[in-house]
Amino acid sequence: MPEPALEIRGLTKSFGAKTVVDDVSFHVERGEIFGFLGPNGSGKTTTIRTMLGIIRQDSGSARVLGAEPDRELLNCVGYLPQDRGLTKSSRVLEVVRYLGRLKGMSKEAAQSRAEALLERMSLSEHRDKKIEQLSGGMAQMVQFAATIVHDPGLVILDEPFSGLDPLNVELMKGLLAERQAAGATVMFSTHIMSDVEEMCRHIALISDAELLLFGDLAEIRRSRAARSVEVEADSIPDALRSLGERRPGGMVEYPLRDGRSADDILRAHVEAGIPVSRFEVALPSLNDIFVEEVTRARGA
Amino acid sequence: MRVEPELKIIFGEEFRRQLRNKGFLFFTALLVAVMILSIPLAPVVVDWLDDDDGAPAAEVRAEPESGRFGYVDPSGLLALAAGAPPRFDSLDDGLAALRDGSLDSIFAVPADYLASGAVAEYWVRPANAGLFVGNWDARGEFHRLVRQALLGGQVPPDVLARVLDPGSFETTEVARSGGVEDAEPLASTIAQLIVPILFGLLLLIAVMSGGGALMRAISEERETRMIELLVTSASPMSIMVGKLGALVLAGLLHIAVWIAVGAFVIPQVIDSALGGGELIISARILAVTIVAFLIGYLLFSVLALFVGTVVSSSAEAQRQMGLVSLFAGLPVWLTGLLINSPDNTFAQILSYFPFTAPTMVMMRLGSGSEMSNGEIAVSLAIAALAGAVLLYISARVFRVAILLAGQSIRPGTVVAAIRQSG
Repeated sequence: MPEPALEIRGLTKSFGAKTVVDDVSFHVERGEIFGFLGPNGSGKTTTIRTMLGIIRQDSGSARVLGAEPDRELLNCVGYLPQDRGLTKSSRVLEVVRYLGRLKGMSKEAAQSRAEALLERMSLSEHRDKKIEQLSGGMAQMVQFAATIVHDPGLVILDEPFSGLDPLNVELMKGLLAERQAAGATVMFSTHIMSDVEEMCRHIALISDAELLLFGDLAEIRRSRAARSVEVEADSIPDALRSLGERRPGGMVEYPLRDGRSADDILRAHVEAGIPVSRFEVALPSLNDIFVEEVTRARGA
Repeated sequence: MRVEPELKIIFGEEFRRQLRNKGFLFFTALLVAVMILSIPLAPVVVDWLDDDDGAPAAEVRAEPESGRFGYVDPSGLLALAAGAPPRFDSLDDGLAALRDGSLDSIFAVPADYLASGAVAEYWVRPANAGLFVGNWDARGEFHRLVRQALLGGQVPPDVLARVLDPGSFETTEVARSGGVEDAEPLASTIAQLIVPILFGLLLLIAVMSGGGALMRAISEERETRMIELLVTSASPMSIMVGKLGALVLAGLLHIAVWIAVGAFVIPQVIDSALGGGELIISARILAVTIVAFLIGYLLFSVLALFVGTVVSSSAEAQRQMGLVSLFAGLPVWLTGLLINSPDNTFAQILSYFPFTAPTMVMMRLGSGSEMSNGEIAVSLAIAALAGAVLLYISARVFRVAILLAGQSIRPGTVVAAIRQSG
């Protein structure tokens, strides 16, 4: 079995007296899209910078694609920093080609791949413009093109979707899915939980320098107590209906509280002879889990 | 030694960027244009500056270049020939001519002139007179006129000519060791001085254009986080050396253009403006000037890199450029002092301060300093060593600077970065 694409063990980093990453461990399997979550200032960016060798950890280790990250290995990684920007006087095609060449591509390969990516992103007509002549979203897409121009085996994106319009978000997601289909691993940090629920199988949640959650997203959700059940049925009697709340489409949502379980709700419907056409236990959303975990950690 | 491929790529990219830099193109073209224009303009300027335009000594010009003047002569001593400046019967008539703009100065010679030597001068202050009082050029002409009037007919014409123009000098230099040789022609003396001054100016211009562009580029890469992408692809030292190498090559290219044009233009200017003469430049001065220039250029390029690394923004880098160019330009601004006293204490101190040493060595040698080869070597070695140390520090600070985008790097941080090993 191949080693994980990314493996972090006991990673710790302090700036002066402030510990910004404290004994964080998790791994990212090869070929998956991984979500790295955390509130602002939680230590996500420092973790990413440390695993890429941009800054040195105080202790712990980071293995990238099965080895200690060195310059050659990092040529197989595409990185999109959180605070984005390219040199304003650079021209679009040239900067993508330049960053591709720095990742070990030949001039010709970097040129043709850069042209293809810009074409794909509908930026071909802007290829000779300076970065300063582009809108913020366009410049961000150019930087994304530079991130994947060398077809990296591991793509690390720090808040990739912030500042993009929905069309560009979909375009970026599509390109990431293509990278994944080609065997690459993708890890991204974000505040947008719906993107993680849509794209990721595994997640890590970090807050105030500490890892709070790591694992399979579905299992994490299942491991949480169900909040409610949703029932779709004809002729629910008022006595039963009053325990829940009406929802569109004839649905009734029953909150699970005061010792009432999902089994109790189902049994009540069966015993009342009501034919149930749909019965679904509602798991907490990732957003709920995020808020709950971070609040609990900070309260503690 | 193996050169990292990333270094070559960074070098190529930065070199291309330097060549496209508007400041680079502007300064290259500007100096070439100035040099070419100096061919026709130099003789005109020299003529304009030259007071003695070769007029016969015994003639008094009616309207000298020094200004239009007339005189009032109650003493009756100035019986002048036709063509002399206008004479007025009364001071009021002369002042009227001043007021109506037909003259610039009136000299009144009193009746007791021979006893007192006093002359009253009336003048209209021109727009660019500054702090000076009186028309000094017109006074010179007036003195000639008085000498001619007082001696006319009393001494032979050739004696009068010598009184008015006592002599032109042909100088022979006698060495204390006993050797006797003709003094260097003016053209060579000027060449000896002008070559170091020219290289000093070139250094200043190159630092302001190329160094300034590099400084802004580095700080902009910090601001925009572009630098974060670069360090995942190349080592800080490769990034620094790649950028520095590109700047130096671009700078040398721009200097080569200037020297090529200068080699064609300067002899022509000296020939046309100073009446020719063999242009001899001491091989020692030329060699030291070129070496000092290269060391100075490298040093200031590294300084630009360092400042770009530690300042908070490209706007701040622009402001700090003044400080860098102050060091580069200081010896050039002291040219007047150095010509009179090339080995004065201040000049000697600046010769051992790294950031002024290269230019100061050039300027002192051109001004006739007696610096020994050993002193020159020590001075330039200090500058070269400072450049190497600064490059090392810059690469160390670079990694820290990545994390501090938008912030200036404090001295304490620089020291901590240097101490951090590995």
